[in-house]
Amino acid sequence: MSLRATGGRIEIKSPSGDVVLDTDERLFIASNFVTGSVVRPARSTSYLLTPAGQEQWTPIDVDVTVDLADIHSSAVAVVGSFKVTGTAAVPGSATQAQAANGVRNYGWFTAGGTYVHSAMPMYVFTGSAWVRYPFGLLSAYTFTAGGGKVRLHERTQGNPGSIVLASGSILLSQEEITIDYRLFVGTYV
Amino acid sequence: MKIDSTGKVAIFDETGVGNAPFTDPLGNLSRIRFHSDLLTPAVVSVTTYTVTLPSMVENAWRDATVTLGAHGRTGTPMIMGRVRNGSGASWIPLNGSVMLPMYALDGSTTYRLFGAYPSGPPYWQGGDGWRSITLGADATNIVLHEQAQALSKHAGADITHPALTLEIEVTVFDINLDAANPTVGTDPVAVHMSASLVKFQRGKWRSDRRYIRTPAPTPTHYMPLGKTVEVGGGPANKGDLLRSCCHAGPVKFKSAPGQVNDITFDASQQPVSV
Repeated sequence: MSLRATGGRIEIKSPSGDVVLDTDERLFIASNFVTGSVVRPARSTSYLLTPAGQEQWTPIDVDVTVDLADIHSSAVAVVGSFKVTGTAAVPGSATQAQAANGVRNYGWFTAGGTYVHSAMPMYVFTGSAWVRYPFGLLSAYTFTAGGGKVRLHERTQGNPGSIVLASGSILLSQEEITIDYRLFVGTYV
Repeated sequence: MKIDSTGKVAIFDETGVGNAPFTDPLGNLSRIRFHSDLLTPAVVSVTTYTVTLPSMVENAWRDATVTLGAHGRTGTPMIMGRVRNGSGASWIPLNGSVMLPMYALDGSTTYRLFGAYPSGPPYWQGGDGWRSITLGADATNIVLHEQAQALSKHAGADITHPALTLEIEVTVFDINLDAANPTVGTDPVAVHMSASLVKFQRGKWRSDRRYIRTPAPTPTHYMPLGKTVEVGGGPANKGDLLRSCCHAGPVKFKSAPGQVNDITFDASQQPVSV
């Protein structure tokens, strides 16, 4: 039988006999559909030899959460999709700092979990060889639901680390981006 | 369990509140076990794709989107994915950007694995190599975005990162992200119950479909409850990091060739059966 009720428990099985509803379990339901867009500002980190012989490191460390919308107070999970638009990143000067900019301008992607947008390690050509430095501009975004809010969390970090150059400067920049989102948030009943 | 003439069906605790959960399920969620008015994403297809991410030499950079295939739905569907590299490996939930272990051969003599140093959750040093994939869908296709950098150069040796072949399983749900989703089905019969099939609310909810359920003794997927990749916070002198986190574990991801990388994640995602 496809529906069975016994001892306060109701169970419904598929035609193949798999359980699809069991009141002893919890079922995911989408409580709210949230659409909109949010702009995240440009980020940058730099290492300068200015004036000559004096190093100026400018790290960046962003850990910020932005409220996007009110949702059901029980909602804890986010599914749906997001889209990132922006312009090309600004490369570092006198370096081979290539810009990783994730799914920027590529369309819609799944919204659950953390999206890695920018990760720019540093590889500097000294004139005779490529030298690797523990340097980068990392940026990741996570949609979260809880406490009656759906939020966007941004974590951006850039740390010049132990760079030592004879001259010149390094600048890593991530451009301003717009994140459009179409999210179902929900919980388990 | 209550059923009305429109096909609305609910299973709820009426103690002290009477019919309120039936008429206002969102206002009484703590008392609801099932309500056909609520949107419960249902599986409409499960497809496994095979993708080979190409080999990379040092100082290389990749930024590419691969079309996996058409999803066959109207509008952009809600999807969930998981990934593994070979049938002997465990599935990893494809939530957000998944950081993949990256392998390298130094001058064809020394094998390196990036993404598991020294133990525990994998991380990727900013100055080393890293590779991530992100799953998406448009109104026609399922797509996969890959970004990677192979920047490592150790002791002057030439390094090649081998190609990586992945299986990507994509579950497509009946949720359209481009438009309002129907609150009632189109069946002429309000409620259908037979020996093999149950349908509520004119076919909106059907027992021949699969839904997202928990707890899951043998979970097929993990619904993220927060971050799945952490930035920074690595060991001293290792620079800036990307670290996978927040997966339930342990998860095995096969490295190439013939190694298994044991990855233990934090258990802060919701294990579910789909």
